[in-house]
Amino acid sequence: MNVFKQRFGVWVEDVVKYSRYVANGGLLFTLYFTLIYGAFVYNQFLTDLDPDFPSEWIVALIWLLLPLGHRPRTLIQEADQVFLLPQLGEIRAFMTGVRLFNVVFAAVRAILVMLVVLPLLVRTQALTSVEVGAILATSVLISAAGRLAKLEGVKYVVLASALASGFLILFGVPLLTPVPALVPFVLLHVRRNQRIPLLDWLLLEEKSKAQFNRVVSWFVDVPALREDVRERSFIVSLLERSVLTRADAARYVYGLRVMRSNDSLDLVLRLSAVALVVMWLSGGWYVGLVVPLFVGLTALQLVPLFKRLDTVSMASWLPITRTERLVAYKWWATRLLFAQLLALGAASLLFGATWDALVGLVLAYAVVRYYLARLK
Amino acid sequence: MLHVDHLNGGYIGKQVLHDISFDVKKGELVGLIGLNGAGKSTTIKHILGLLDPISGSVEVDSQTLSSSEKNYRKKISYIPETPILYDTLTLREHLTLIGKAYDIDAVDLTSRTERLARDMRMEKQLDWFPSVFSKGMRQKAMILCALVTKSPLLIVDEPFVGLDPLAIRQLLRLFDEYKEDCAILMSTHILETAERHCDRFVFLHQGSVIATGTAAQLRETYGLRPDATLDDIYVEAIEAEERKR
Repeated sequence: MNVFKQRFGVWVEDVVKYSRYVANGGLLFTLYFTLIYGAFVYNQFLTDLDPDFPSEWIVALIWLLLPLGHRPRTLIQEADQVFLLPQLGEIRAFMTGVRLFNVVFAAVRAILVMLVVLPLLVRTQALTSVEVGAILATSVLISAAGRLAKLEGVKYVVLASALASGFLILFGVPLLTPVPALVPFVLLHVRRNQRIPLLDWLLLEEKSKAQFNRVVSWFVDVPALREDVRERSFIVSLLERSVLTRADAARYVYGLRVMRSNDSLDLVLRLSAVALVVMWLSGGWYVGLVVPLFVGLTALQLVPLFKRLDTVSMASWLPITRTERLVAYKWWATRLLFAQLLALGAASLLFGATWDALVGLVLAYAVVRYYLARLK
Repeated sequence: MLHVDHLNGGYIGKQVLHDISFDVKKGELVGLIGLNGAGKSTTIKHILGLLDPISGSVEVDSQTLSSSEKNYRKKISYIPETPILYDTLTLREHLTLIGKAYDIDAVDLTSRTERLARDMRMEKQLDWFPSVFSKGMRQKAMILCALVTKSPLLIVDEPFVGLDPLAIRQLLRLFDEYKEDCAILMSTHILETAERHCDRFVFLHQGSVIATGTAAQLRETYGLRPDATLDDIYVEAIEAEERKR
């Protein structure tokens, strides 16, 4: 039996299943609008671009970042620790399949990033099509090497070559940039795993799956989601004195969750940061409308979270009624969203919004009210 | 303290419990004994109000879930078989949450926390997040959260899973203290320990109560020798029930 083919089939089924939910979800439309708006804004930015803009520095920086943050899929399951053990030595085909699968992922990621960055480079540098191809190839190679390095458990192998490729583009020889980017593959080939490192790959798969589930959970309830927790002792101690001491049990538990998990306060901060970048790039072009767009995106993800939190929790048997839990979650969600709305509204004024700031705020208020009303 | 009266229940489209009746009185530790799938966990879920009964009723300290959900739940604390903790709260914050939920005075909560944490050897772990707890520590954390409430009824589902021998001994000592003013219903498979510490037993089989009583009463019911263990009684009870059917 070809284990890789079977696992790959299951993965495809999963992706197709969740894609349907994603396609039916309201968030997709918001994302479309965000992308279209982003494209307009970026186009505007490119049109007014100064020829001295340091685009080659941006590419060099992106090459340093491309190997980072990969979450390789290994398609390993928990039960493999028992049932795959006898076959470990014989399933080279599985390992090759997993490696190729991840190279494709890494390549897609690099191409998507370069689709945004290359116009910047072409606008400011005199490049031949071969040189553009070489830059694209370098990006794909660096991204793939970064992902494979994580898969093989080899550290710091891509950094030097990414730096070398970066220097080459800065010194005006883009054609040679793929050469250092190829070096890590030699090292990775030498130090590749001969047998599946079951526990390491299981951990990688869990992390990667958790990331996939996090994205899917924007659209559909995924109860078995693991969360990253940050202690945030400073914010928590501030809150402790002002709110949490007097809060009831439900507000207490949700308050701490909102502050510490990566899908509440972090989400607001992440999306607000992106909103600020979009505002900056827009150069004052309907900048006020960015506010409802990003407040809407936040609300869309923040509001359905309640269902997931409520599915399996200690609160189900504690003397905290569901109504109390709902009211408490609404209380926190309202404060987070309104804080974001006001902060982004103020930022839009700084970035040159006029009448559109008011329209943006009114729209954002309506969006927040709409999503909070759906919290039942 | 706990009165289960002609309870029929289970899950949507699948009745698991059939006409179950039993009591747990103040000062008693009652063992809920049954094979896998006998209905122990389902019974507990009905008592906790996590499942709606088809018919029959559950009363805890004269309160029912329908009369006041909040007051009813305040009468019960629960140690689940699989620990369920909030990843975003430290153990101390879990205990604060419990204090708020059960309206426990802050001074009382602190003194109970300190004492229980010392007894369960969890003082160092009070400010830790559950993600770094071992399996045993998670179970101990659940035990702390339940015992700190001093609620009239303590429900315990397989409490010894994952605990080391010292922790089991300490837990049983804490149960003995706890039941002085309260009642405990404990579901377990470890019959040897149950025999030594439970005052009475409720035997469940295929969703029905097949026997209740003290070990001595049950020996008499099934005509067993005075030195027959709870294991022997249990096996005999099951076989007698199978013969009857």
